[in-house]
Amino acid sequence: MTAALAPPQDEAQSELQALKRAARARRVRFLSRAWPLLAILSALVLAALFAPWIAPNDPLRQNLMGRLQAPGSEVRGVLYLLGSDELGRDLLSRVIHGARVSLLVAISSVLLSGVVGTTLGMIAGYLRGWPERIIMRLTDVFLSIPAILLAIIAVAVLGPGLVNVVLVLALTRWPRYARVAYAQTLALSNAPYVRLSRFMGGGTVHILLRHILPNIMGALIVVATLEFGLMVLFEASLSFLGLGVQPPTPSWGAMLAAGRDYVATAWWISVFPGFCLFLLVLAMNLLGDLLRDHFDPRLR
Amino acid sequence: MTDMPLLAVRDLSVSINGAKIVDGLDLTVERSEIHALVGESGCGKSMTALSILGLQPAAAKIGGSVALQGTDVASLSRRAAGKLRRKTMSVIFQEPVAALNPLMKVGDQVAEALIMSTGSDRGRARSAALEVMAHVGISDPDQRYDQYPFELSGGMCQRISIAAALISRPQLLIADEPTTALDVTIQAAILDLMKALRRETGMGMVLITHDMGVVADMADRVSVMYAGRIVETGPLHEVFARPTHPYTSLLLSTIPRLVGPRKTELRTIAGTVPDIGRWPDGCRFRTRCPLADAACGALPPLVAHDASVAHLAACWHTDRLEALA
Ligand SMILES: Nc1ncnc2c1ncn2[C@@H]1O[C@H](COP(=O)(O)OP(=O)(O)O)[C@@H](O)[C@H]1O
Ligand SMILES: [Mg+2]
Repeated sequence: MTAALAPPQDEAQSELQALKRAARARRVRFLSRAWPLLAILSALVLAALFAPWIAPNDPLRQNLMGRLQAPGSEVRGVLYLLGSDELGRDLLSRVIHGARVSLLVAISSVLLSGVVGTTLGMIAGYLRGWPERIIMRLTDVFLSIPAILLAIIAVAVLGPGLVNVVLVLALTRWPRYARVAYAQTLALSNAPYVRLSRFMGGGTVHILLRHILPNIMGALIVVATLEFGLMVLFEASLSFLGLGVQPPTPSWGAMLAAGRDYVATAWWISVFPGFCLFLLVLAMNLLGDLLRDHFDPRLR
Repeated sequence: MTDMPLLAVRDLSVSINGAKIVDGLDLTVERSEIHALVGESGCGKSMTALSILGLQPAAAKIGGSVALQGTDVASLSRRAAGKLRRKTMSVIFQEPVAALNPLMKVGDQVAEALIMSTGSDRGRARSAALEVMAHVGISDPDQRYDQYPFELSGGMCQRISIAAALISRPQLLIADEPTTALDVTIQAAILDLMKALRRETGMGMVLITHDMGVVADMADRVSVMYAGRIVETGPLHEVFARPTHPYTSLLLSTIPRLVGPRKTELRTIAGTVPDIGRWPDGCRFRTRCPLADAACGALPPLVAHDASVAHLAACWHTDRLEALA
């Protein structure tokens, strides 16, 4: 039982070194460009997680003596660092608590639509036949309706509220993931290692979870990142229209709506939540672009 | 049943959307025999292999029979047929790197082949994998086990695939262009390995290739395929000594000569295999054949032309073959 000819080790070794160097260089390049975005996002996430401890005041406590105070003013020993709203509530505290709603809704709806869409897309791409026809036709239908319109109609029917907003956003956005998962699965399902696993008796679930899902995860994460920004905006839009999170729970979208009536006299009510929205969405979208470059430089 | 051939393919046909990609193909592999299936790209070799393995695309319609050690797989339920195939056969594909899951440790991929075929537990599968990896010439298997395909060279990846194919101790190996993607020295090493393994284990092999040099080096028996049909088949030395089909002799003239009078340039056959659906009536090679005439409008049968009953060819003009040389 002697081993046949040994392969040329040095060549394989130097090739390996080059590959490892390239991978490290890619990681360094990604981090050197992504760190400001990661910093902004971490700050927002920390604010959301620890809102009750960070916020200087109770975001729900009204103070009619301290209505519409400008940023930096102090009323009866309470410092309104970012000013106060039309009911005298501390804007800084409300903005910090508002991060919770935005992030919670965005994360849950991205997860829900991602799981549903990916599952359906993989099934369509792997099984083909009638599941493919039904699922892909359905995604075509969903993608042809303007998402925000669909969301507004659905919330109007289901009624407003945090859970419903998440459900509705997932309902409208799963086709994006389904499309990507479908195309990637289609391409992979004839890969030799998938064929091999099928030959060895690997069932559909085994092949999808072990061989296909891990290999399409990169593309799905990119989609999820870009979708995240959109979800934040959708939640804000729904809350702006009064169809989202209900008062008095602070939400950036609802705060924007409330501030609309006071833009001329109290700009801070709408500017600060608006700025936070802008920062979150921008950071997430830029991160999505960087991730796309990182996972697949050819897409550029 | 032990005198039954390992693999007996009879009158196999594969059609997709009405296009007959494989047409009336016979192929037999005896115990510890290497049967080469040779032909240019697009002839239907891979589709033949996939059909034998039961991996043909869902849209493919299969005719004829595939028997493993005398058992016709069509006579079994799908589950039982898969089981019999797994028990008897293993496969290695052309693309050494793409044949492996890029995100799984290579050792786990070898071990998984055993776990899935025998239900062996992880620990035993791991040690069996290490053993077979060492056996196929992977130095330092302990360290290699935890590496990923991209960290290995093409030749190494092909050795991993071979290890995964061998770990379930198949009696028949289907190797679809196992060395085409590798450079020449590594190609020679892999072929030597496959010969050594055949000697040790007595496993039979269907070796698919488009390289007559590989056929000469490896095969006991060769079948030449053109446009979905076998045009010549026989024991290696007979086919090489007395090629009876013009396509075979043209393929043979493409082997670079290392001894004897050197030709200044490598010969190739003019033209390419016509696309499916554009195959001519009668002899399909006639559009490229220098001997073609009106007689070739009828499909020539695959029959013996000399004393040997095992050496068959499908050509109307075997008597005029010298004209080609
Ligand atoms: N899934 C498929 N659907 C339709 N045609 C196919 C499919 N796979 C292969 N073919 C066609 O079958 C023919 C034979 O292909 P293949 O078996 O890969 O040839 P070879 O392995 O000899 O190069 C080719 O013309 C190819 O285009
Ligand atoms: Mg092929």
